[in-house]
Amino acid sequence: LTARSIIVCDDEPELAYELAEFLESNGWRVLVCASIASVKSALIGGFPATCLLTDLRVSDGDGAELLEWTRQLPQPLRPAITAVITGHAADPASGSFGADLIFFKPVDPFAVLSDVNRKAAEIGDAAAI
Amino acid sequence: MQSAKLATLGEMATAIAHETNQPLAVIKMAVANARRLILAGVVGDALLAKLARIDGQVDRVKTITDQIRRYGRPASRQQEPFGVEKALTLAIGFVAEQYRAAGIRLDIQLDLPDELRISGEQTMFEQVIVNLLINARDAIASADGDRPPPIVWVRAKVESETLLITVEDNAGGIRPDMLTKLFEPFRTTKPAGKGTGLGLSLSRSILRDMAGDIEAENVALGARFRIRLPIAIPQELGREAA
Repeated sequence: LTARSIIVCDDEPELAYELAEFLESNGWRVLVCASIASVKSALIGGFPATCLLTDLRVSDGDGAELLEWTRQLPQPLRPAITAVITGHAADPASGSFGADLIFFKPVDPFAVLSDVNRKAAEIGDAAAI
Repeated sequence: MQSAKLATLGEMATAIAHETNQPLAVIKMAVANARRLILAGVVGDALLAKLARIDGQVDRVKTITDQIRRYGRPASRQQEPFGVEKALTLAIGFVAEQYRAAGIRLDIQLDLPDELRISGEQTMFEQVIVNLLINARDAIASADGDRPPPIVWVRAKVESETLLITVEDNAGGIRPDMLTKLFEPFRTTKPAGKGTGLGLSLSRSILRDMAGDIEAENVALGARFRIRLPIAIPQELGREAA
């Protein structure tokens, strides 16, 4: 069995690591990235991300632009699922970013887990359990 | 003056929601992880760490709400003339020891007429100056590469019946993309958790309550903040004397 893997991109380390701990305890392999640059480096380096979950405002850039960048990646490097996590009340719906999922802080981590699991099952991700 | 506050109310509400949602999100997830630990029979240090994290995030929200409370102060409650030089000296004195400890030279030049007064709430005005000096100190502390010996210049003079105060550092300046957003609530160049991003926004609000304003620019070696305030008119001085 191969664990699903997720990149959590958020420059709030305490948030990122709590979410990572929660997802790891529920069978996900998690890579925490505190910057857009480190996400790009991981994906180009071949980290097999089933899902990319990113904040919109990251210290070195824009999460929406990161999602756009991932869509230009060749298929093997591209995350199968993209998700946004934001605390900004005025952020528009996920469609604006082309993300599959959007979560509003303070989101229940069980909701994150449930939605990404469901999405992974829907797309029949090859890396899924 | 109140209209200036109202103009930013929507912006403030959105920003406050964002900034409080961050620690709430950490709390929500730490609670979920703590519950999992308890159900798994894991207690002790791991659980205490979760409680400490939650406690820290509650303090973070409190820091934000404490600053926001200042916005609710009636603008005209304590609008009284006060001496500029004394207020500046008190504000500078508040941070002088921190500057000494950090090895930052304070170059102060107050070219002010004796008894020059401005109208407002003195403690709030002092807070504006302290905030600028602390920001300059933090900018110097986080400046990259080989920098010249750290120095902050404070200047005050009267120009065209207006008090002009500048606070300038040699820390390399403000990122151009931040320069236009600097006075928006919750905009900060400081690392996460280091600043609330409310200091400059609150400073602008205080100065506008005093019929003044503040602007920022990059200069040769760093950033310069320029405050303009009307000097107290003779009638106000007369009313105080009476």
